[in-house]
Amino acid sequence: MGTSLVNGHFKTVTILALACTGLAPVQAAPVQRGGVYAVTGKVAAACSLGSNTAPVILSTTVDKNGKLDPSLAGKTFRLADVMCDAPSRIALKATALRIVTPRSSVPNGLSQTANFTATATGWSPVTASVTTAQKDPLGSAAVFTGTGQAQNVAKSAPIVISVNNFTAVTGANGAGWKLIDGDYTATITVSLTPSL
Amino acid sequence: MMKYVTSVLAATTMAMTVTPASAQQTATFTVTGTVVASCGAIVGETIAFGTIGIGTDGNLTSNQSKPSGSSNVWCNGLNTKIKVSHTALVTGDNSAAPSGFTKKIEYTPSVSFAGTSFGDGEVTLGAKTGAMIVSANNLTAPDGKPLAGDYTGAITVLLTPAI
Repeated sequence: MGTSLVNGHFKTVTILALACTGLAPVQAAPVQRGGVYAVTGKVAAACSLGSNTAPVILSTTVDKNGKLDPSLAGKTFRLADVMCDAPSRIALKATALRIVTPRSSVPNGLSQTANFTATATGWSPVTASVTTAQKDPLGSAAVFTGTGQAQNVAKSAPIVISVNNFTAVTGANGAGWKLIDGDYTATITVSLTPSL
Repeated sequence: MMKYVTSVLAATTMAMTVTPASAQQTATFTVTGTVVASCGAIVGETIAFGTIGIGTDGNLTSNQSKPSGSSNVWCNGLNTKIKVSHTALVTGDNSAAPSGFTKKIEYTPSVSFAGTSFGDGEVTLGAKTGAMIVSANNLTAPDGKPLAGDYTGAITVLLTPAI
């Protein structure tokens, strides 16, 4: 017992001596713990015509004189709240202005179809357009496609569609310069295609 | 006979003198140790929104939030601090976005640790053990409509142990 006590004292003295001389084990400094959580997401390239209903419907009535309403030329349709969050391409499609209830034949000198040109401004640097190209006074429901135009950056703006250059489709003998009286309609479709 | 008794007494006396009485002795052994203030490792991960929703007006749709998975984390120091910081979701280079658009999507970060929620900034956490879930909440794009593209941001969680 006495020996143990003596040894115990020795141990104590030794540790104290180490502490005094700075040789005691040094506690490690607390280690910071960090974590990085990457957050990712993708916004898809998209275009929206907003609340506009497509296509644009062009309507008019031709009376007995066989002439189009002169106010039709230059008529505009404004598509508000259009946006593409990426570069895009705009293209127009249209049907010719044709009588709502077409006949299977028309008297010589009359027509039930008129070609026209539609343009879209406010979007691409180069104006997009389409010109219908019916060749028969009877006409058809054919859809004509214009050349698309590029808009190189994302855009949010209204698009204005204008219609011009109405021409009644004449027959092979030159007939058809007058339109049959009645209600006429044409459709113009605006297409925006995003590209990224 | 008398001589014998005397002799015995003397012997006894001598014996008592030579052999000391047994004395109790006490020694105290102090046992010490230190538990270093520390925290378990945090394993970061990717919080992936996938395709971020936008409306027909091009603006972000509301209530878009995403949590990380759950991981077990502990800290044993009563004065341990937690610091949360984040960077916004951004896309592309630093060039300006087209008019009306933005390349930055903001969100509110939150860290749920053992049932307590922490946001941006540094506060004393205390000793805690439990599940840690990191979330990116309520995407917003106050500067405009988000431009199409891939977006990246980060939430950083830093635990500083202290006794």
